[in-house]
Amino acid sequence: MRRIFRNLDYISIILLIFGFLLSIIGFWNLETILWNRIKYTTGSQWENANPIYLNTPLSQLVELLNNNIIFYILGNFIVLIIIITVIYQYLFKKSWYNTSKILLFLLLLCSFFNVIIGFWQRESINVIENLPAYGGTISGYEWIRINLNIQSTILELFSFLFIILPFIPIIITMYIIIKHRILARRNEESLDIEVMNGGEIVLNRKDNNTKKPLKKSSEEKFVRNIPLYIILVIYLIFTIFPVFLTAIASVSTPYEINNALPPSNPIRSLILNYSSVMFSISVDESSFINSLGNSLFIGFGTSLLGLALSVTSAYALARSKFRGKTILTFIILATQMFPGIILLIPQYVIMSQLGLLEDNVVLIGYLFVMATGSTAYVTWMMKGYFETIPTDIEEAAYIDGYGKLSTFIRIVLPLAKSGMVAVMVFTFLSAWQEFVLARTFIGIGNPRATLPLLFYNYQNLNAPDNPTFYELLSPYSILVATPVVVFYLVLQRQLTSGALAGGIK
Amino acid sequence: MARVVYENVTKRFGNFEAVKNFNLEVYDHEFLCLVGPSGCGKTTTLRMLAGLDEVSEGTIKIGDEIVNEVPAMDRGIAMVFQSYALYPHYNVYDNLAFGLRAQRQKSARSGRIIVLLLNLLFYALIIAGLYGIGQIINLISSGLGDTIFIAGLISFLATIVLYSDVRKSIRKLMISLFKRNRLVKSYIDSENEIEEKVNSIAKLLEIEQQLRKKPRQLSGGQRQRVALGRAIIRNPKVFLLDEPLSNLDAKLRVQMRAELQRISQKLGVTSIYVTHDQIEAMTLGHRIAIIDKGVLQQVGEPEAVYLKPINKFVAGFIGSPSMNFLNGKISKRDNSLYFESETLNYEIPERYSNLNNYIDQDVIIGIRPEHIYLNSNKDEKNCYSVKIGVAEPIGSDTFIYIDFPNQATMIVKLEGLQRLRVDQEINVIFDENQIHFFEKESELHIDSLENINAER
Repeated sequence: MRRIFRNLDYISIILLIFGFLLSIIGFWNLETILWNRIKYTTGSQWENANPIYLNTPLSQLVELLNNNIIFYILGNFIVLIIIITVIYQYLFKKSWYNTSKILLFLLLLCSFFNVIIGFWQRESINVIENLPAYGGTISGYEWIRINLNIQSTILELFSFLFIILPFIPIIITMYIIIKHRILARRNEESLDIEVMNGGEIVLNRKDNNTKKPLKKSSEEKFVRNIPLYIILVIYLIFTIFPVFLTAIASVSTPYEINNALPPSNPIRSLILNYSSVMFSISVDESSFINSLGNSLFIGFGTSLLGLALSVTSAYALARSKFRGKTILTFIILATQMFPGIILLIPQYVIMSQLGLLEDNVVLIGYLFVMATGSTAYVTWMMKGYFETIPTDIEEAAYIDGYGKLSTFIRIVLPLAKSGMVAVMVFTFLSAWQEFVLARTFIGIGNPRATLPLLFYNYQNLNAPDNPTFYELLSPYSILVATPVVVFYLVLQRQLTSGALAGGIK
Repeated sequence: MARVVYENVTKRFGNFEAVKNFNLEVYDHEFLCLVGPSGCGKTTTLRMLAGLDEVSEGTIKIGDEIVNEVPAMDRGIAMVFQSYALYPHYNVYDNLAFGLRAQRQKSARSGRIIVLLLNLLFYALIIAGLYGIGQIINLISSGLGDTIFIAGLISFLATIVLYSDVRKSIRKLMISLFKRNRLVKSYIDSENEIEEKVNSIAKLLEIEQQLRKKPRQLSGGQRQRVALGRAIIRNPKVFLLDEPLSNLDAKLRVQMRAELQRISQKLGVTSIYVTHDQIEAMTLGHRIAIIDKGVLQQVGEPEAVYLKPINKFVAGFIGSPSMNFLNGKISKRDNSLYFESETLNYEIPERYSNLNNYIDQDVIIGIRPEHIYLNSNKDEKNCYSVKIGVAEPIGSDTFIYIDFPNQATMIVKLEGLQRLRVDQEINVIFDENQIHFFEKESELHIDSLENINAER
C-alpha cells in the first residue's frame, strides 16, 4: 500500500492528463455539431458553417450531449481522485509541494478548463431548451420534455453542479499554494530575526534612522515623476486600448458591437464566441482546429529543423579555428541584413520547379522555406550561447576519451539546453506569426492554411454593409496571440538569458 | 612504462613564446611539481602534454611513444582541472563513470544500442496496444475509442517525457527480459564492472553518500574529490593536476593537500602537479621543477632546491617568507673577505673561500628569514644592532621586519610567540652556514656557477 502511494505522483499525473483530455475531447465532439445546429436554427449570421450538420436530427444531438456529460463527469471524478492524492501527500509528506509543481500547475489548468466546460454545459442545455419550433414541429423544450423526461430533470439538477464542481480543486490548490507561501515567508522572517538577535540596539537604530527617510524619499520621487507618469499613461492608452477593445469585442454579441454597447452577458458571449471560433467548420474546410494543427506543425517543424540545421555550424564558429572564419560569420550575419521579402519571387520559382507547391506537399515546402530562413538567426544565437560554455568541460571530455562529435552530443548539447529552448521559442513564434510567405505559397480558403491566414474567414464577402464578424474576429485574434503571450510569460527568464547570451543579432 | 620526456619543447602563441626550449624528464612513478609565478607557462607545459595545445617545436614522449600528433583521447592520461570541470548535467556517479564508458568493448556498445532499440520497441508496443483497445471500444460505442486512444497516447508520452524514473524502470525491464543475448549481456557486464569501480573509488575518496547528487549540490571540497576520482578511475598512464587546490579555502586546502599525498602514495602513478604555491610543491613533490618566464630554472628534490638554489629567482621563490637580498661588493682586508654595502659590512666566514675569485666584483647576498637569529652579545663579530619596523606574531612563528640603515629592510622569522615591540632595539646575527651569494650580472648562485665552469 505504501509503495502504491509512493508512486502516486506518476499515477496521478497520468490520471490528470487523461481526465483533462477526456473532458476536453468529449466537449469538442459534441460542440462542433451542436453549435452549428443551434446557429442555424436560431438564424445567426454565421454562414460559413458546414451544411452537413443542418440535417442532424435533434435526438442525436441530445445523445451527444449525454455522452458529453459522461465524459465531463468522468474527467472531474479523476480530478477529484487527484485532489485526494494531493491532500494525502501534502499531509503525510511535507515535501510534496517542492517535488511536483508541474502536477499542481496541470491541476489548476485542468480545473480552469472544467469551469469553462461547466458553464458551456449549462449554456447548451439552456439553448436546447430554448430552441424554437423548427420545420413545423415542436420546440426544443417540449421535445426534451417528451423524449427525455427523467434525463432532463437530472440535466437541470446537474447544470448547477457543473459550475460548482470544478471550483473545488481550484480552491484547494490555491489554499495549498498560499499556505505554502505564507509558511515560506514566515521561515524567512524568523531567519532574519535570528540573525538580528545578537544586536537589538542596532535593529532599533536602523528603524529610527533609515526607514522613515526612505519612505519620505519614495513619496518625493513619486511627486517629482508625476509628469512622466502622465506621459506614460497617455502612451499606455494608445498601446493597450486596441487590445482592450479586442478583448471587449470578444465577449460581446454582434448587436452590442454594432451599436457600441457594453457587453450585457459577457460569460455567455464569451462561451458562444470562443467556442464558435474554435469548434466550427467552414465550407472550405479551413477550420480553426485544422489550421491550429497546421500552424503547430509549421512552428515545431521550423524550430526543430532550423535548430538541427544550424547547431553544428554554430558550434564550429564558436570553437574551431579556421581560415576565413570572421568573413564567414559576417556573411551569415549579412543575410539577415536585407529584407526577406526580396527572396520571395526566387523562392516561389524554386518551389514551383521542385513541385513543392502541390496541394499535398505545400506545407512541407513552406516548412523548408521557413526553416532555411531561420538558420542564420539560429546560428548566431547558438554561437553566442556556445561561447558561454566553459571550454574546460569539453577538454575534460576529450581527456576522458571522447572524440569531438561525441563530446558535442554528450556534453555540449545538454549544457546548451536552455539556449536551445530559447532559440526554438523565438523561431516557433516567428513561424507562428508569419503571414506573407504563407499567403504566397499556401493561399487562403485551403485546408492547409495556417492560423494567420484564417482571418479571411471572418469577412462576410457577400454582405458589403456588414463586412466583418467582429464577434468572431476578436476571439480569433486573442486565441492566436495567446501562445505568444504564454510563451513569453512562462519562459521569460530563459528567453532573456538566452537573448543576452546570444549577444547582438 | 610511463616516463614523460620533454625534448626542446617550444610553444608560441603568435609572436609570444610561452614556453622556451623546455627539457625535462619525469621518471616512472614519480610525483613532480611544476611551480612558478602565474603566467610563467607551467599550465601550457601541462596542456601540451595533455594534447589540448599543440607543440610548436620539439617532441613530447609518453613512455617511448612520441605523442605530438596523438589526439588527447588516445594519450592515456587523466587531468584534474583548476575549475574541476565536472559535467554539470550528470550526477556524481555518471561523472565518475563517464571516462570508463568511453573505454567499453565494442560488443558492450552495440549491446547498449540494442537496449535502446528495445526500449523504443516497447514504447511502440504500448502505443499499438492503446490503439487496439481504442478500436475495441469503438465497436461498443463509436468515437469513444478514438477519444480514449488520443487521451491515452498523450498521457503516456507526457509521462515518458516528464519522469525519468518511468523510463529507467522500462529500461530495467527490457534488460532483464533480454539478458540472455550475448551483446546485451556484455553491456550488463560492463555496467556492473563500472559500478564496482565507481564504488571502490568513491570509498577511497569518501564520497559514497554523494553519488546520486549533481555537482552543484556539492561543496567545494567534495567537488574536488569528484574531479580527482574522475581522473584516477581510468588507471591513467600519467596523471596531470592543474592547480587543483587553488579554488579551496585555506583550511580545506591544507586538509586536501594531505589527502592528495595519501592518494598519490597509494596509487603510485606518474604525476605532474602544477601549482603556484611553493608550500604545496615542497610538501607533495618527489621533485620540483621551477619555471620562470617560460624557461625551466631548476629541477631537483625539495631539500636540494631549498638548500642549493641555482639562482636568485629560485632562492627567492622557494621558502616563505622569501629570502632577503642585498646588493654589495666583495673586498679583501687583513687576509679575510668582506661583503661591503651601504647598508652593512659583513665579514665572510672561511667556508666561502670560492669568493676569492670575486674580489672587487658586484654580488648579491641572500639570507633566509629563518637563518637570522637574535643575539644577546652586541659586541660579537657580524652582529648588528637594529630597530624593529613591524612585528607579526602568527602563533607558531613571529615575523619581524628589521630596519637597517639606508632604508633596507629584512624579514626575520623567529620561532614561537615572541613579545617584541615596534621600535625596540635588537641584536641580530646571521647563520654562518646558510648564506648564499649570487653573481650580480647573471643572478646565478656562486656555487652553481663554479659547477658549470667545472663542467666546461
